[in-house]
Amino acid sequence: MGPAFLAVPYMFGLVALVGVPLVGTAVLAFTDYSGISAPQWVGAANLRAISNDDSLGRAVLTTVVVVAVAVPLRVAGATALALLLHRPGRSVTAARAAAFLPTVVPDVALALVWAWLLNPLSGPLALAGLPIGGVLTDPVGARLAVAVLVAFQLGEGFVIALAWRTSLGRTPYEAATLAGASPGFVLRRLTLPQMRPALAALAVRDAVVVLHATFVAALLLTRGGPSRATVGLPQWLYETEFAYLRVGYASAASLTVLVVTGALTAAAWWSVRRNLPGGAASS
Amino acid sequence: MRALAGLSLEVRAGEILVLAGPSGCGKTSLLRAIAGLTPLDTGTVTIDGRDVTRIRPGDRGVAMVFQDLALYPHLSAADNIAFDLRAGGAPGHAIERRVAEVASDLRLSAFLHRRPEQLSGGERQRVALARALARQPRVFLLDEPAAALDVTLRAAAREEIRSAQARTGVTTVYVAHDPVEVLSMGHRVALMREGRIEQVGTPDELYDAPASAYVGRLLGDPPMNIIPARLLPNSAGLAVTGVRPEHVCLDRVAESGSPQVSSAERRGRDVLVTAVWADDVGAAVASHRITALVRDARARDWPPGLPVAVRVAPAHAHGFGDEGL
Repeated sequence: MGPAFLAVPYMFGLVALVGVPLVGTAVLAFTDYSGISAPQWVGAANLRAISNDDSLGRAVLTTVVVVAVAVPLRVAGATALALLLHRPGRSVTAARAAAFLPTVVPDVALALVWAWLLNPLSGPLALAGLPIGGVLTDPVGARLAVAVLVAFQLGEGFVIALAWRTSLGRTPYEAATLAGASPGFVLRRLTLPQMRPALAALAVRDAVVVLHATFVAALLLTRGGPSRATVGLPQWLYETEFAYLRVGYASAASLTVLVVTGALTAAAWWSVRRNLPGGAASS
Repeated sequence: MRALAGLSLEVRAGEILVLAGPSGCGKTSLLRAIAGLTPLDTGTVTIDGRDVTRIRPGDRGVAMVFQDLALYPHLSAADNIAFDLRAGGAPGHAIERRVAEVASDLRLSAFLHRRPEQLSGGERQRVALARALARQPRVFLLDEPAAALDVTLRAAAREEIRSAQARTGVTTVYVAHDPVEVLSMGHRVALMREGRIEQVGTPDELYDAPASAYVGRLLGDPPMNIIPARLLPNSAGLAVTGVRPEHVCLDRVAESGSPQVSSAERRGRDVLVTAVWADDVGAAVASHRITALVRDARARDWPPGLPVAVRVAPAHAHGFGDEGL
């Protein structure tokens, strides 16, 4: 028995919790099934219907918009905080805790605080005279509000970026100081190129995290409104499957989610690899 | 905590000055103060007559080779060498020409596309040297640059540094630890002790006329013997006497009560013999030991307990006051 034997419990869980449901979903996608009566084979009818479903299309769009706004905010925010706070110090320790704190706050509590902040009548921002009255009632404003809320919980990414930055040696930075390199030059040529692998991994992970986090954030902040503009894919699936009992149809749509998730994570990875400097000779 | 105290040191234009001393004596602190990496609380640093104490490190015209070399791990050798030039905003074609020039001087032309992890220790060391020289600095600082190398590569690295310095004539401060390096690397040596300069001079001056027992013991391998001054004639007012092992003569004698051999170990062509004896100082008995480098391979077979006579020519006995070791 090789060391692979040790992976058996994990493999068991993977098969039981991911593999079996995935195969079940793929089979149910070709049926009409309410969850109560027996499933009926309908062939590719669900897949054809999906391509014409406007509500699903809007959910995909919402998800893509939220991910496209929140992931860059999260990665850039985590990186910026890590670079500002990587040197040790007393006030730095407090600032690090502050950066991590929103991640410890339960999603529900954070969403409720956000809803209170953005309340157009009684919220502190409205009372302070800021023109935020239309934010949550405008489809674009509501999606951005959800995206920013989700971007706020970047503590884990911050910790990863901080650990990575701390692991970069001290003397190369001193050598750059002696060479008279400007802070911008050091950032472009030394820090970001060396952090690229960590940031690419963070972006991929954040794309998945944001996709899931949209569910709670949108449900509590806007209840999916206005006019279902903030209903993302997880909420759409949940409603279709458990509220409208269209299990077969929702299963077919789940396969769409799988494709969208794959595309979003690939885009996140590609975007970091492409847009961050690699540090090579080009100048 | 103070790393340096009441220290004054002048490095002459175009020379290699070796900063020596045991770990923690302030060599690296002094080097970092010259570079401006550690700001001074008091005192001044002057380069070419210009006070640079308040000048940023990047504007001092100082290049440094760090003990860990401080190469940029994600960049090729060529980009490492070019980094400082690019940081200074030099035009692209000038950078390329300069990189090619320095690389060929240091036999790096074939490795320019490799990253540090793909280079050997010696090649990495030459890349660090090339990067520092590419900028044509006014002051060149080296912090034990050969420390990370195998013993076999160190001599070659030292030669490389000496010839690069001779070619460019850049004023150089070289931090060294190893006594061989201290005596062979520089035109002059400044020996440090607890944040101060103990003695400055040519390697010969420091070796032949150490100002203190401390200097005598640090320079030379095997180290200088330090024995109570009263054991030798003409020692009024002196506390201890230093004698280098190569200046101690041991002769086999038949008398009992003479010093006795305690060990004999081979050192290349010579044999390092340790002799011990005791003498009465009033009520107490003081025990002494002295090492001698004997130019006779047969001394290897001297058994422990063999009686010997110890002779030291007065010219080779260095008297020191009582300033501790």
